[in-house]
Amino acid sequence: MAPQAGGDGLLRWLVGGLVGGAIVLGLLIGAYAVGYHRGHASARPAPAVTTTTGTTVTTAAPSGARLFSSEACSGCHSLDGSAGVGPTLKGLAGSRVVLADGTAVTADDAYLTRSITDPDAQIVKGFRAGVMSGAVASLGLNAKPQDVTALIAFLEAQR
Amino acid sequence: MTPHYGEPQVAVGIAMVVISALLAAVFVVGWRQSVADVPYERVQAVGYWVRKRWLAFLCALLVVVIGLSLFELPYARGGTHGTVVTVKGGQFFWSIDPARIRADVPVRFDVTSLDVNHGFGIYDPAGHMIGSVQAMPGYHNKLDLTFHTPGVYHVLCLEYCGLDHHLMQASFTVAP
Amino acid sequence: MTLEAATAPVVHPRFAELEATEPRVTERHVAWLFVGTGVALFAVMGLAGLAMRLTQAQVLGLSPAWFYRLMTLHGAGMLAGVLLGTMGALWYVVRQTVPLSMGRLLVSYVLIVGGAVAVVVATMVGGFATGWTFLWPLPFHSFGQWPTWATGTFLVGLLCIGAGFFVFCLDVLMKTTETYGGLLRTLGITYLRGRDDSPPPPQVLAATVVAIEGLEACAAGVMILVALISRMLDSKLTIDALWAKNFTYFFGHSVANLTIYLAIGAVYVLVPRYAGRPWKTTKPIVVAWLFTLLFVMAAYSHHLYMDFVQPGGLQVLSETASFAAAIPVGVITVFTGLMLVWGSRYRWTLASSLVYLGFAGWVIGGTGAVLDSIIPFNFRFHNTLWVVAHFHTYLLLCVVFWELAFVTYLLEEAAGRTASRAQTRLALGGMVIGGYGLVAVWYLSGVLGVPRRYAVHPAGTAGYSLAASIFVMIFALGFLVLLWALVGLARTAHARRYENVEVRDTWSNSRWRVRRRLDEPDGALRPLPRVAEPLGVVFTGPVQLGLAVATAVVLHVAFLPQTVDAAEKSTGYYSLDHAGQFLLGALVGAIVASLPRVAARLDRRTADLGIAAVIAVPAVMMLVMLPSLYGPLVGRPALQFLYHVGIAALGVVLGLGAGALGKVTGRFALLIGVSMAVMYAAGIGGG
Repeated sequence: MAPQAGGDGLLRWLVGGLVGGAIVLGLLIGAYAVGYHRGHASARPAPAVTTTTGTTVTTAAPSGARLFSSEACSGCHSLDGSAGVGPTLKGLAGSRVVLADGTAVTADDAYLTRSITDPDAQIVKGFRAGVMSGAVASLGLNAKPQDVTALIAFLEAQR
Repeated sequence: MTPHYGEPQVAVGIAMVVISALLAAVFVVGWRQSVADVPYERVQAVGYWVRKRWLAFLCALLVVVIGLSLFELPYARGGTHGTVVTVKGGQFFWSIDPARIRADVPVRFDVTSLDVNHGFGIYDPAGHMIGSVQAMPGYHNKLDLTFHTPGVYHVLCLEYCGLDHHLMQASFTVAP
Repeated sequence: MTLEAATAPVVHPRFAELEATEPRVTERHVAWLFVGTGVALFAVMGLAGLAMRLTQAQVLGLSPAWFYRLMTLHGAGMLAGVLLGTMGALWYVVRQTVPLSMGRLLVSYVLIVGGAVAVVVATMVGGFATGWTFLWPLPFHSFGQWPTWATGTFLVGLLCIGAGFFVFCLDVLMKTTETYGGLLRTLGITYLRGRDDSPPPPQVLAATVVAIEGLEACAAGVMILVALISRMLDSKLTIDALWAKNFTYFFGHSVANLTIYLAIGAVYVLVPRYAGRPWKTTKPIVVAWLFTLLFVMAAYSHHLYMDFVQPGGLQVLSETASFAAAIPVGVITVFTGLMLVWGSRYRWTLASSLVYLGFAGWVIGGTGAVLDSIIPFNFRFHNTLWVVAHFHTYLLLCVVFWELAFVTYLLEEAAGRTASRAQTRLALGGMVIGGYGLVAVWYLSGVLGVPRRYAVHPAGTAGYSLAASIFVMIFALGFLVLLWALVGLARTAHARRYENVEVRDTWSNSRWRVRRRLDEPDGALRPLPRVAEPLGVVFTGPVQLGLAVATAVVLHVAFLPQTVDAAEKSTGYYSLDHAGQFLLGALVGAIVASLPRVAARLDRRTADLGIAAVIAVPAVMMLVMLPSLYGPLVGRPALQFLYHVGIAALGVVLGLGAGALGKVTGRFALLIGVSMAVMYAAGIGGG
């Protein structure tokens, strides 16, 4: 068998490769830096950009529309009639709702409020218990009555 | 929400196909060559010649690729930033506050979880996957992004979190 | 190029000139047990996989609850299957030169299979569905889907699998270092320095590296699993989510990755049979394995790239290690394999074809892996189907191919022939087209951004799953043809004349009743390998003993009332205090076991006990630290003191057990046992 001549040579080539790579990297960075200064960097698409400019963070009381996202309603309930994990909220306020046990009720304010604070008591036919109540509990909605009121007002506006 | 092919991913996909094809070709050639009777000393002589250069190439590639990647890390650098969007994941919902943000303005997503690990995966209005960040209980992961395309962005959960993991969706709007 | 006809001999004509040891009949049977079980598990779990794909294609109407159960089972079961298969294959080849223990291997088998059964019960009966990675705190947020006993069964099942692999690794490390004389020689470092003319064969290098990594991985696994079990027993315990993620993925990633390295050990021995050229240890191979040892350890954090709170240094280290790990593979291992095949008049049989194909799967899977391990790319590929694509390329198209190659090799040898040309072409064609088609669809889906672990895929993507299901079925057809070919080979083997004979295994001095071919050499006559260096003791010489004693004396601080009081601030702090007491005990035990009079009494029997101790004691120690056990003792100094002495006593058992394992393995075991206690303290709280 031929002697393992590859052994010693490999180390030199390994180091050479690393050094060569470092040189190429340096050149690439240099070229980019030079090019960057010559022209503008055009607006970059979505990928991450970090900056340090600041704007104020809003502190006004959240509107119902904002609560609809911040309390995670939008993930399961649509506003345009399309199906989702939960019933659509389009035209819900004041309409007739059939519950899982077969009874029909009118979606008045009391119903709407209860459907947020205690959803498992009034599951709509065709949907599962436990999902919304879990979310309400996790988000602590029951401790924020003014937010619930704002959400009801928002729902009333969804015709 | 139907996903569509996004730019950087397609490039990576093409790279995968090209490299795999080259590797497969090497194996096909090896297969064909295997019927010949070549003395091993000869194979070694050529093989060692190729191997050194192949090693050097891979080492150089490592330095270049890792080095360049360090400029594109998604990890936010400290300090306070512009709009902060508070994201809380839970089984099986996303709380996004605020859900309307401005385009061309730096946004920091402050992502956490109320129960188990979730993944905040963002898709642009055309359905291209932009990126993701994990939502961990007891921790806040901060992702800085600037959106240039207005529209409705979708969120899918990217860390298995239970029975309705595939239903855990949300959206937020980028206004011009 | 032609595939050799079925009647051609199954080895290369020049193979007879190479120095190769004939395996023995007992070893063959053990290999059969392992690889047979592995292939059976693969087939069953493969069906689960097909069911999953069909569900995602919306052809099969499994509910999400069932989908996720199957997903959990598929992951754990497949891993158990490839682990068994590759362990068996490596054990078989290494045992040609190293007297590995058959008894301990069978203990491993029972533990792993028992664990797999527990996983089946937990998922199929109990409904446990966290995915096989059981990521904290998901096992405890079942949303009503599975009861606590299912969680417990699954965790205990995985603990058994981890323990089984642990036993294997301990035995391998002990025996290889004993045979070749210390860790440096066994890893080839002495040869590298030019002070050794006969380094261990490459499969021994592979086995030693795997054993070391395996010990670390199993230690992490035992720790995180015991933490979850403790939480199950006491809900006051809290576990840090980042800590849990780190150790869960260190365990899972390492074990999955190690199956490839287990298999390559066997491939080192198989290739020369068909190429007629030896695969000898060279300096580049030694260096490649040393780098692999480092990189596999450091790469695990690539699973945490999108956990931005993970320290950035670890992320970049893992990025570098993940890329770098591909270099020894691509430059040395696969390259040498190709060189050996090139122009060799390679004997193409069913087995040797699978061996060759496995190399291709390794490098193609590696490409997908390296691309995903680049952090900016991972930002877009994390937890999409790209990940699923790359690890299936590794596991299906490399490791399983090699597992099947090994089974086929055993049968070809027994039958004295290979499969027919038609069978070979159909089997390989089906598996290659089906397998690569399956992963190609996943790579494509990953580029599309389809998330992984979805029972229901986003709208408009079900077509991909349908295409993939068809590829799975093509693979299954190829696999069935392979099985048919193997049955044919088994029949031929059976038809050759056999006798029932009692064989004495001179190495382990045990007797076995086996069925042996009349023309099979009786390997029992093979002389026992010369032991290069006896096992030794943990602390050799007065300096080491002195340092150990000094450290132990310092550690008595852990018993002082001031320390105990200060540590009562939280579960984490007092666990750290207990870890100190544990370390004290461990040092005392190891010192005692190092004393000449005690060391002289250590033998194989005590080593068995030592292995059991080293695995069980840290687990027991962590369990005993439950807040509900320790809590009532707070404020009662006498009872607390007794408790602390008890912890130290556990440590003494660990130390003695480690001492029974010899210098190299004992030190590793001691280090790992104590690290587990300390790192456990770092991650838990509450109480």
